[in-house]
Amino acid sequence: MSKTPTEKNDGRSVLSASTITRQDTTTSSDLEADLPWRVVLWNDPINLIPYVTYVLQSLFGYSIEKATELTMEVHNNGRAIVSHGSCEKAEFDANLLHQKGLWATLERESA
Amino acid sequence: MTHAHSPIRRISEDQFRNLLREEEKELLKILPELVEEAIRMNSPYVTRLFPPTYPFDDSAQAKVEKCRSDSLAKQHMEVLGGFTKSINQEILSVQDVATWVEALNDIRLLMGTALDVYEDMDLPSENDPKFGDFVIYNYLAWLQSSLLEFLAHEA
Repeated sequence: MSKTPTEKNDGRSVLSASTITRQDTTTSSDLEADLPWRVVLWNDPINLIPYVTYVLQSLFGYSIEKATELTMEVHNNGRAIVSHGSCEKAEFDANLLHQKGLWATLERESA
Repeated sequence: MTHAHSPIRRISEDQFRNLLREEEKELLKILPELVEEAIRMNSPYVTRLFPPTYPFDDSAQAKVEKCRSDSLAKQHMEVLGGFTKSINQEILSVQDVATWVEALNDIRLLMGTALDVYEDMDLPSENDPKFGDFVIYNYLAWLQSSLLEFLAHEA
C-alpha cells in the first residue's frame, strides 16, 4: 500500500496474481464443503494506508486499533486475514472489499 | 500528516465546505468519465477494480464473476456518478465525502495501473511524457488523503 503522499514509503508491492504466494489450494469442490474460509487482503502500491484502515473499520466495524494493526500487517507482510466464516460469508465480505477497490481472495481455514 | 490547505474544510459536525478551484473541478469532472468509459470498454486498466476472488481456481472464479460482475461494475459507476454530481456543491455531507473518497480511489486504481505505479516510485522528470499524469495522480492521492482525515473520525 501507499503511505500518505507526504510520507516516505518503505513497503513492498503485491499487485499481480503472479506475485501471490501460492498458499491457496482452493478447488471447485471446496466451494461445496461447509468448512471455514479466510478472507485474505493483499498489499498493493496504490491504495493509501489510511484508506485501507478506514475501509476495514467501516465495513467490518473494527476498532481503529484492530483496523490499523491489520492494515500494517498487510503493508509489512504483504497480506493479512481480515475476515473468516462460511464460504458464502467470506465471498460476501470479499465482494464488499472489492467494491471499495481492495484486493481480497479466499482460502480455506485449514490451508 | 496535516492538510492545512485542503480545499475541503469542515464547517460543522456533519458538513464540509467545498473550496475547490474551478480548474480543479473541471479536472475532477473529466476523470470519472474516463474511468466509466474504461469500465464500459472492459479496458485492461480496470483490472484492479475487478480483482479475482479465486486467482488459482478458474471454475470457482467463473462462478463468482457470473454472480457479481454486473453488480460490481454498477457499484463503481454509482460511486463515480455520485462524485461527479456533487463536485459543484458548495456544501458536502459526510456521505458526500465518503463517496468522494471511494471515487478518488477508483480513479487512482485505474491511473495507477495505467502508469504502472509501484511503491517508492519517484516522480518522473518533467521531460517524461507521463509527467503530467503523475502530477494528477499525486494530486488525487493528496486530495483523497485530506478527505480521509475527516472520515477517520466517522468510521
